Amino acid sequence: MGQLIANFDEAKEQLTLTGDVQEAIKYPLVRNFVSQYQGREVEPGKLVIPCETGKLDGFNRLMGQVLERYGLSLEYGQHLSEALDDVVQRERDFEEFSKEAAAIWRSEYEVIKFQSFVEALSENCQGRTFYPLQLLSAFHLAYSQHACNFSVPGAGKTSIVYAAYAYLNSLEESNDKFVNHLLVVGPLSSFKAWEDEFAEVFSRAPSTQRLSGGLDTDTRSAYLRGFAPNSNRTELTLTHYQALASSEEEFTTFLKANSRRVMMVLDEAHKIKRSDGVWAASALRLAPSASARVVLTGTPAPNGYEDLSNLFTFLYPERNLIGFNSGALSALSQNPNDPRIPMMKDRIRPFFTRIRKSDLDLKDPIDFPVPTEMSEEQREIYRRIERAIVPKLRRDADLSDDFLTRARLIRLRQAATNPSLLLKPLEDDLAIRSGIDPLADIDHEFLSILNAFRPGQHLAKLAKLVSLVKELQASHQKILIWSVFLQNLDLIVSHLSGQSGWVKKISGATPVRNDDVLPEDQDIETREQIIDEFLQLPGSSILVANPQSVGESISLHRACHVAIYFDRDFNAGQFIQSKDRIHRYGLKKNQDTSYYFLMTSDSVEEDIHARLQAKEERLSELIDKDDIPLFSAVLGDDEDEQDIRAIIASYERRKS
Amino acid sequence: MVLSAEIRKTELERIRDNDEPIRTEKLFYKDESQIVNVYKIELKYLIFNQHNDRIATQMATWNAESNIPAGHYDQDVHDQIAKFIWNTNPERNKTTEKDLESHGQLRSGVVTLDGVVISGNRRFMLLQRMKDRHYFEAVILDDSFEDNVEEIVRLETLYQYEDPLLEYDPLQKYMKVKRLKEQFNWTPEDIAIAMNEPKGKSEIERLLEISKLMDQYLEYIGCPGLYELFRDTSGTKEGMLVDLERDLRRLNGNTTKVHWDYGEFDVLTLKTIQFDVIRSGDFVGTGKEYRDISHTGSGGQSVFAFKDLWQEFSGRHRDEVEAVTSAHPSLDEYCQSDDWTSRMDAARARDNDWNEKASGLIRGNLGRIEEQLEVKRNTVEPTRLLEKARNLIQAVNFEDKQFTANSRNLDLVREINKLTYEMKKVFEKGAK
Repeated sequence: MGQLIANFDEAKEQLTLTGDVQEAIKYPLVRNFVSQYQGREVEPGKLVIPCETGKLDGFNRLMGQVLERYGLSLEYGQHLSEALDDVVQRERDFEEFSKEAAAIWRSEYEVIKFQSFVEALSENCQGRTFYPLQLLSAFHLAYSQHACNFSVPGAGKTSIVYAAYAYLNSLEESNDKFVNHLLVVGPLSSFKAWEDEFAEVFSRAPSTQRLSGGLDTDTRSAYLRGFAPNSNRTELTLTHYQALASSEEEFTTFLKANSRRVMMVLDEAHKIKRSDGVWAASALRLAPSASARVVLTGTPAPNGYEDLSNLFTFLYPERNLIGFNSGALSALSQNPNDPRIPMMKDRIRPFFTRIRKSDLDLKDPIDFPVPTEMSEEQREIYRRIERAIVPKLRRDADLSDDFLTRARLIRLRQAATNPSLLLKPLEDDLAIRSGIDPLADIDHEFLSILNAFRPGQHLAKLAKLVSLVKELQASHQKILIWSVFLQNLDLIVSHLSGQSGWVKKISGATPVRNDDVLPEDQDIETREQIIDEFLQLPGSSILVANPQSVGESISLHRACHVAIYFDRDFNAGQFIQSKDRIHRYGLKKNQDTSYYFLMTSDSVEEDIHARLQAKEERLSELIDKDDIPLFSAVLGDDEDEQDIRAIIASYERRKS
Repeated sequence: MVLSAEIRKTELERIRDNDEPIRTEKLFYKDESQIVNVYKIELKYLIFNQHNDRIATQMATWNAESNIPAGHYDQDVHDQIAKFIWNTNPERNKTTEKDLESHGQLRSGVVTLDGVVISGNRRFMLLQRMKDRHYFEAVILDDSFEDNVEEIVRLETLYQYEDPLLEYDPLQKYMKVKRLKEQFNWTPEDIAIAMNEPKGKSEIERLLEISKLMDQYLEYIGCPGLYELFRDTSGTKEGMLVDLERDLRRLNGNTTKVHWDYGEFDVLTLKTIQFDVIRSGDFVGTGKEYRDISHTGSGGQSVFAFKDLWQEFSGRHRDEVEAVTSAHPSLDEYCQSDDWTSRMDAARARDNDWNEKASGLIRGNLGRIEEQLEVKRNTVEPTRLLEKARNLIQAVNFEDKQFTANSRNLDLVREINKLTYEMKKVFEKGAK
């Protein structure tokens, strides 16, 4: 059997094969392998194949498999370059490293190392005492350099990143692991939390730069390319996924700058789950240039295990950590009993940590459903809408994901929460295709009924809200009110203002702070200013918000312990996220948290309440039970259909 | 006798500066639209454009087999090009020849200052064949070919691809994109604009990938550069390469419905086997084999989609077909073994020889796996059909009055009900 001898020339980045090359090259796969990688026979018996040092690992493995197909053996040459040595050594090291990383999360670690880690933190993070699991998770991250944190919302993932950063930053500059800059990629709404948390953990204001849509391209480019005045003074750079993709080249320059060793954090990283997405592609291409890589998300696999693929590729671009391609992963998602699932989880276990809600030791929140009878005026409207819509839902029940069904559901919910919303065309504030409004050809009589409806007089729920707020303000200074309808936000603000002190709203339209706001724009209030005021203003204050735009990435739990839901929809994920805003790590041990759910009796709002309860229960159980919870497995494909069935069933009940 | 570039240039300069133009034409050159003169030029002062797309594979093949240095031009090359152009479509050429005889040259050509025909090579060839024609009517560019290759090629491309509906040789566009990329390092966007490609950048990227596969294929069968080998009795092997590019793209991009943990090695193996299938026959005859291996729909029901079948199939391919391939003599050895008229003939004979030994084995191997593939397909098939049936039934609007108005509907409902009842029974029996 033939034997080949492999050498690697690191300077030229090429692999040389000698030995029985003439024999080997006759074998089809060897031939194809060589031609695929543009190898050539430079002299008889000597093959040269270009190969980047960074890709040597994968290349070496593939070459091994190809030669093995024909029983050819491969020997690493006598004058083996260090690179190939490194390959072999790196494989061993990595295996060893994986084992140790996995052990840390099982609390099996060298006590001395952990102690020195804790000491570094107590010196550098004077503003914060970390709880044991946070410490362990941060230690794991600092040890691994590249890791995922899949902790539930409210577990303090931001602090964990800062703790690991503080430790790595405290190392000697000559240390391979040393970092001196944080690049956080996340949604706009998360920027403030990153800045606030920095100030708190390190007891100093961060030197920060936000790179978001408001910043013009030239300024952004100057900053990233290193010639803006603050380029080298800044320690924390915040950006969002779009910017990463649109300025990828500049980010590459930024990450590769000599003076900078960057820890790159993907916050809400499930945003890069799509295998062919533009954001994902940019993040993955930038990954190798970051010194440390962190992936943060509470929902690593929203649609299936295939969503994990990009996350772990970001951690180790050169390795196939997960061991399955997306096709195989989606097959696993479809069969929860597949024996390969535990195998897959074992492979990735060393590289992620997860703190569950039950680990946080929070006092259970209390739910208060607040049913409200409709006024006669509303009942008349609601019944008409219900009669017009629900029977159609029944007939088209298989079209659960159709725009038309969505439009009908929205109309039904509007009639239940506030019939005056029915007067506005749907496409105004909802991303619904025009021309399918079920109320498009409404008759004249009904229109005059709608026109006569005055929320101030006829909406019992609004009156209930006002009295509830008054009642709660006796014991709570800060009250959070949620509604999914933008128009309701305005209605609530206008009704509570004057009688309840400070009342402001945040919606998707509220701008996020930009560093370069023009002076004349400075009177426009940003999301950050509103949140700060809400939390810090002495006396009572009320914040009105919609879960679509502030459902994730903000923390209000330090001052606010009560939330009122004026209305809700069937979206359980968003509902849970919004609840977590005031129920998360950092609450005092005996602090009560309460949720009030306003509900119009005998309406779809009761069905929503029941369905959300059921979904939340299943989701919470799964989230606490499983490391990589598959929501699609508990919620299933027909969830929307079941929502509709619930509506139909209660309608039938009322009719009979 | 082909005249030197210098003599040609002197004469064309003279014509341009002294002769009366016969008409004017509109020309888009160097990013601007200009009105230019058309002159009568004696044929002997002109040469063919050896990069003419219409004969790109023939030229590349001829260059590869006769080792002619790039850019070299003499009488042999000149005659050879004339022959190639004539042979691309003798029937059409005969018609045009008659047309030229009766009406003269109606469309002007474009030539460089040193007499390289950029547009109108076919007409130039035909005029040369005709005894009584001595002039070619053409626009003379300000540049010699070598002085501004990039702009001249842009112009040449504009002329060759101005009509997107015109039929080309299927291999021609691959050669073109490859040249534009390799010679000028144009981006896919640039190439798309120059070639007037309606699908834009992504289509050019696809063509470039396929042209890469073409080169790898020729390298693989040991005949680099012999592009004419892609022609077969039914046309060209292009169709299978197009399919292969798509399969590989889906597999590498993880967008197939193949549900097992295949890796880079498996994809390389697949590519190698498909190269053998492509080599083993013409597109018409081999299409089914090709598709059964990796190209059914989005790959969902092919041999490659089932790990066990794939391993059995590729293992046997290694033992049988690859054994033939590895033992097959190289093209050089083959050339020496007989007195071939050209290297291309030797290559064809070598391929036929390989085919006699290997294609039966490939089909035999596939035949052995086909039955198992059918079984696998059949296990998926009922689900697919049932889903389809359910969707169709759900589409029936049975709350409509029309539904009950027709009594035939009730019969059908009963029939369907009976069928599904029987199906359910099968399950219940199985459960006992």
